[in-house]
Amino acid sequence: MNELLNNLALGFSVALTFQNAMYALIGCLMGTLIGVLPGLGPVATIAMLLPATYAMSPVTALIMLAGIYYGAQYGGSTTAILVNLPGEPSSIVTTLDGHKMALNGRAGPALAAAGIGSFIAGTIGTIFLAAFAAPLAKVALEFGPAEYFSLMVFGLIGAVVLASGSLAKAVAMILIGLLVGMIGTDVNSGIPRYAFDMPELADGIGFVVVAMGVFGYGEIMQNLSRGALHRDILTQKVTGLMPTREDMKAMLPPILRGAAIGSILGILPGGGAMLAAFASYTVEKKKKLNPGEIPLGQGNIRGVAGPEAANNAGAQASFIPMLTLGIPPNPVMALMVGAMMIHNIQPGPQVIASNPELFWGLVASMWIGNAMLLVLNLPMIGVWVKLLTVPYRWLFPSIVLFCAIGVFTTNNTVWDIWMVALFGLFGYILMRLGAEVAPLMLGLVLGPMMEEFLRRALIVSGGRWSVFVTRPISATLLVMAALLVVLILSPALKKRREEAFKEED
Amino acid sequence: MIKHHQNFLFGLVAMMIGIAFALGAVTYSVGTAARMGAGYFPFYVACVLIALGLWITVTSVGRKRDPEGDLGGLNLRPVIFILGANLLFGILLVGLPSIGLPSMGLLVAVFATVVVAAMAGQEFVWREALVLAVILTATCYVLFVALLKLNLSVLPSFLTA
Repeated sequence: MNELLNNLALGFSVALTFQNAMYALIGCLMGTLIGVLPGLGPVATIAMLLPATYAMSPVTALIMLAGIYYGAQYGGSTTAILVNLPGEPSSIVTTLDGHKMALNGRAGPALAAAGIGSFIAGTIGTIFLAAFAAPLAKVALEFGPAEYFSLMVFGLIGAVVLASGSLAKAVAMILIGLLVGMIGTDVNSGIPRYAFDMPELADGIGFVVVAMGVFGYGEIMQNLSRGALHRDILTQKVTGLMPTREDMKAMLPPILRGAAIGSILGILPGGGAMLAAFASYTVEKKKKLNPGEIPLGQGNIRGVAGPEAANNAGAQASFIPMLTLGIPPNPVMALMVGAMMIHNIQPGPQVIASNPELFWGLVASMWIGNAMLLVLNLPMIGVWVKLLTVPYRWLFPSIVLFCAIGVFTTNNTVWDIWMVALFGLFGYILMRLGAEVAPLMLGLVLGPMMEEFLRRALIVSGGRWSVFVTRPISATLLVMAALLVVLILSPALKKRREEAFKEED
Repeated sequence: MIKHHQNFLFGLVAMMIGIAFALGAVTYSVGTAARMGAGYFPFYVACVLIALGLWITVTSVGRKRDPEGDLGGLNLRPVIFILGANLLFGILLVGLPSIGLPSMGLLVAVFATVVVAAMAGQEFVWREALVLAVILTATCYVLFVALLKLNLSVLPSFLTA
């Protein structure tokens, strides 16, 4: 306990320096902005901004990038409530009750419930992260290569099981990602693989290039070929922001439930903000209504407070596997791993011990960022609503431009510009064939690590594959991965899963 | 008869990628589990991908057509203009010596990229695109040249030489 307090004190001393607090604020504002703007998500934004973080210290860079991710959760709820358009996938369920509330003239309390819910959940998520990361990292330090390999298998399987769509296609996307990750010089033998004698390819394919091509350009092309984005803006003025006492009483229990759900689901591979919001809404829907309460789906404040709390807690908890194990549970965290590698920090369980100021500074900055978001966003609602009126036809050329500049300045080579176009096309084709691109990113980031751990595990065992099932932790992880696959293939659950993702559309 | 067109094609694409990587992998040493060569991991991953692709394609064949698997209309406009704008940015920024095109510098590249990218939308208006391009060119100058001082050629090379 004392140690935790000391660590948090260290964290706050780092996060509260003028520079770090400024970048936390910039990150949060930028996150809210992209959260408000549909068609631009945190993955593309973080990928675009990675080059800009070269000059910063690692902790400052991570503080800003993290701010973008959880800031986007705040912004996404604003559009969900006011425009019935989720700025982020994690706000999809917020549209159900949030927009109904706005139509009933209760936009103010809905926005306040989302903001307050997010803040409380953010606080709980931060404590959760601070309390659980260190013990988890201690356990992970005992892991050998076999355990790591099995953990990655479990992580990747989990990520696709929780994703929507076809399981077989998602696994295929992971494998494609693993293979793309093989391009470049093999660290073990020094042989350039799949390089066709081109020095640029021998350096490997940067994930920034893939992320921008697939998420940046791919998303724009997908949006444009689907036709114009419709945005009917609620023109009435938002009045009476403060919730009544009854509202407060109604929203507190769902906020706490949402925060708990989000913290737990956020740690799971493939988890994070979106899954947490869905789970929380399901829980609130199952709860019996009090006499006189509006049913969920028709403008109940519980349907806003719960999921909004859950998505924020989930966003923060998804940092746990990234920071303690070095394993990204979702594409945003994959980019964070990349950001750490840019600054020569190898993500993994040793980070907390070797870079305590980085870890605790980031944790503390999340709480500060949440407080900033609450204070800034509620009075600034008017500004964000104004931004919604920016038409997409002004937005997407700007995104293309900043992607192109960002890609070029990463390595100052025009080669990356050709590659980003190639991956944009590749990602677009795969998306049109109904595949999701997130698993590809995870495979790409984990590919070289998986190969290395597999190699080491098999060298130690003298080539016997049984090493993965005779070591207890490794065996447990593989059994869990297998159980996930069996579960998802069982007919009863398959049907429920399809229904769950139908609602999302 | 194909039941699910998207899956049918996806499986084929996956198989093609798998075959390409597997063929590449066997040109490096594959080795054994205890002594993995450079080709070992990619070879087996590619094999699994080929098998999975085959399975996806085979199971997409059937009597009843699944409307969810329809490919939908092909709208090439966004693809051409978005990717075209990106390529144009690279060509204009550094030039293309093979056809004797000199570097045109950041300002020209930004302006052209924005206009071409704007053409990807269905509601393209010349005047609006030009205004947007001017604003963004000015923004980029202030941001990247004046403030961040990035090492970029700003003007066309024949003007600065």
